[in-house]
Amino acid sequence: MDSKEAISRLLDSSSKFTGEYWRKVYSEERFPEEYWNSISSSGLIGFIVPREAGGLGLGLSDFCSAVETTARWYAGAASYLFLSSCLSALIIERLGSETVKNFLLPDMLSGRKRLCIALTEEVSGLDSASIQTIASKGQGSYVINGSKMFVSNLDKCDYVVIFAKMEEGITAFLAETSNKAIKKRKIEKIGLEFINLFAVDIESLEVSHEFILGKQGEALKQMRDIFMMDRLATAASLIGTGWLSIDTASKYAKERVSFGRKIGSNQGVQFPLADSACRLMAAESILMKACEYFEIDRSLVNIALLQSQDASSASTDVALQTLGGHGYLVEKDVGRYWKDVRAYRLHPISEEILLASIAWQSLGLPRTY
Amino acid sequence: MGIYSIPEDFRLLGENIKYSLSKYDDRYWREHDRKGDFPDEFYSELARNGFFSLNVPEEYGGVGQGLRAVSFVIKEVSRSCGMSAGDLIMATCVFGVQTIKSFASKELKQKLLPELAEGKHIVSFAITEPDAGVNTPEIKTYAEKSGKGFVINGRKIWTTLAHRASLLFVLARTKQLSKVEKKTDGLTVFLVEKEKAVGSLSISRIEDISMRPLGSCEVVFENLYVPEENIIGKIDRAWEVLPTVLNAERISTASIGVGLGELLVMKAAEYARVRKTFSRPIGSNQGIQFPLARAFSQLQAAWAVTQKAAWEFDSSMDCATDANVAAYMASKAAFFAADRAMQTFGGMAYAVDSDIERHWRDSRLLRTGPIPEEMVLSFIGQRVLALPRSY
Ligand SMILES: Cc1cc2nc3c(=O)[nH]c(=O)nc-3n(C[C@H](O)[C@H](O)[C@H](O)COP(=O)(O)OP(=O)(O)OC[C@H]3O[C@@H](n4cnc5c(N)ncnc54)[C@H](O)[C@@H]3O)c2cc1C
Ligand SMILES: Cc1cc2nc3c(=O)[nH]c(=O)nc-3n(C[C@H](O)[C@H](O)[C@H](O)COP(=O)(O)OP(=O)(O)OC[C@H]3O[C@@H](n4cnc5c(N)ncnc54)[C@H](O)[C@@H]3O)c2cc1C
Repeated sequence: MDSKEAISRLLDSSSKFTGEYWRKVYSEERFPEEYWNSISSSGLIGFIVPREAGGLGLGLSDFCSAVETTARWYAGAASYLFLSSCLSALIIERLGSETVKNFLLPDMLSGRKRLCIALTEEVSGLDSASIQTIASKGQGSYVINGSKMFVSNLDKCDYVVIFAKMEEGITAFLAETSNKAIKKRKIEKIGLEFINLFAVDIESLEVSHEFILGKQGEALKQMRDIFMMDRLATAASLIGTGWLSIDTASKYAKERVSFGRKIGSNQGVQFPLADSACRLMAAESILMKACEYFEIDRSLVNIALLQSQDASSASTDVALQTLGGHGYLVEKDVGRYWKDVRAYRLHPISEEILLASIAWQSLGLPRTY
Repeated sequence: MGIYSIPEDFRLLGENIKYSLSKYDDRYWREHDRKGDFPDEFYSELARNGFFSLNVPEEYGGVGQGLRAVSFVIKEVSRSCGMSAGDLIMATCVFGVQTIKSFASKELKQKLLPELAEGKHIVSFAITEPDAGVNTPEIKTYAEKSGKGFVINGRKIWTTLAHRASLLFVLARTKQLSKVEKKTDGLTVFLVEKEKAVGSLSISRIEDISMRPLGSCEVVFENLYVPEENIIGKIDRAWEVLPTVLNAERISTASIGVGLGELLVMKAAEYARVRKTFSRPIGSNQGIQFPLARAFSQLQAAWAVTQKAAWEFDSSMDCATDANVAAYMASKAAFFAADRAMQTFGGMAYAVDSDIERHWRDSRLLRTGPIPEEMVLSFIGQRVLALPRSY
């Protein structure tokens, strides 16, 4: 399957999930089973997994275009489900032992099994090197103790990647979410109703050697590529959601009449929408450039994510404003985009840390984080 | 090769620019800005180094590159020497070479392209009039048929470099606005070769605050005769010429904006590393460094969309949307960078010798010309978002 075909297949498989569907999912605060089944059964979870491993072997630019496409076609921030499952499949393909790869990868690629990530802790957020969860060597296995926060989608995942500290450094372990040693507690949040977040207590969780991902002590380093791809895919999801907001608002501005004329013919309404469109187009360009340069210049990754955060924040806010009081109503959807996009100025990496890293790496200013 | 990659020979060109232009330093430009003097030595240096042959086709003695190369050079030169330097390259390579190679007769191409490549011409393009800024079709300058040519009467303002130009392109009506079906019909682009001009052409400089080394002028045409051969494109059909020239101009001014913005961010970052208050560099405060990082990021995004627009231009694709987005994003980013440089330099920014105020004045122009922000937003509102016309 080439990239054109893959993207059009993704569109086909998401075509019936429009605004109404997502409104229902959000109001019921549930996992969008139907959307998930539709995209995973069309063979797209292996989008960036190499062909030899059963994936489609497509490139990063195409992947980001695909994410943006499904986000713009009503999924918005829920495009996270597509992007994160593609990236988790890549984690297993790159860092899983032969055993893990053999039993897990085919099921992940077909959408039967899902994976979540437990890195953040109460005491350790952006400064991920400071985690406290500990793994110690036991009899032929490892024993993990500690607690995690913000684990997305844990209730709907079969496996969780747990980052823990050892003598050698931070190491990633794969564990079954159903394991009794993992106690989860749902945390209430203000948006992204298609997934749940969890706080997790881990008490004497035993993990065998084969379930270590990558080398001991090198998890953060070895995962770095995938975290970087996650930033790019998140940028794509934000741009798609930004467009979804601007599309919705432009349509409204063409129809809604006030003081005897269409609100969209007022420059006070039209120009902010056009300004957002310009920012989204520029963000799209820097994102595509960051993908093209991925192997040569990583400094563009943070820049692309920062510009996408900016453009999507502006777009969702302008969209809400354009719909007036109606923007505040659940049935008009833009309020949801606005709330969802807000999370991504903090996660997976906050605006401030992006700015600080750009100041340090690109401008040679003192490091502040 | 991808849309965004910089070919190896461009990279070498970038090195060469830094090297050969290093003698045109802050002091050189500061003096020329103060006096409003044209940078003759700099122009000759560019010519000697072959910059003006970059987008001249090989058959006319040029290097045969497209707008991607030109826009890269404009950005690099602006990054080294500021806005006037970049605009000067734009004038020759875009107003001059691009217009001639795309729309002039074979005879004009044969004569002028080799001369342009050698830097023998300075070029200007006169569109704006006292009563016609963004509403171009309402220009009043009129060209009346007369024998084997046309006689032009009218008044232009803000024509950059008109006082120095040997080649002056002029947009004139060849049919009255009241007599055409579409407002954009009945307009024609003429090339005035100043040396051969018959009739009266009076040019006076406007005392202004941007790009002072180049200078912008008021130009009055009184019965100025232009032969038929000097029509660019077709008679009454300027609207087949202008989109190409103006899109290339927007891509070029976006490149100027990015180069100028980078110059300012780098200058400000350097100052922020050495200037100390409370016994540490001011740049270690996030209140100073974050806005600079933001400006730098905006410039990179603006540059990416500029590269995309230039690539579309060279591939003969429709580049109007991206050219406008590029001009808009680059002008905003450049002015933000300039303003943050002003803030970073504190009181020092107000000293002419710090050069910040000069770049700040220059960068402000990009938000008004060649296309004001409002006009980009209304273009994008209608073209991309399909919103109703707002005026
Ligand atoms: C919806 C959602 C889903 C998530 N999913 C997951 C998941 O699946 N798995 C997982 O492991 N984690 C997940 N997270 C956690 C997320 O990655 C963290 O919340 C994020 O890294 C921020 O960490 P923190 O909240 O501890 O902020 P902190 O690190 O405490 O920072 C708080 C604030 O201070 C600022 N700040 C911190 N240091 C500096 C500095 N040096 N200079 C300037 N400002 C600074 C930050 O930018 C931020 O604004 C999720 C979070 C959310 C909101
Ligand atoms: C230093 C300098 C160099 C220049 N060089 C050249 C040159 O070489 N050749 C040339 O032909 N021209 C040149 N110009 C002219 C420049 O292109 C014009 O100034 C520009 O197009 C704006 O036109 P105007 O000044 O007549 O503004 P106006 O058209 O009078 O507009 C004034 C303001 O009103 C806004 N406005 C107008 N109509 C609307 C509307 N419907 N909705 C919302 N806002 C609106 C505009 O955006 C602008 O902000 C130069 C200008 C300067 C300052």
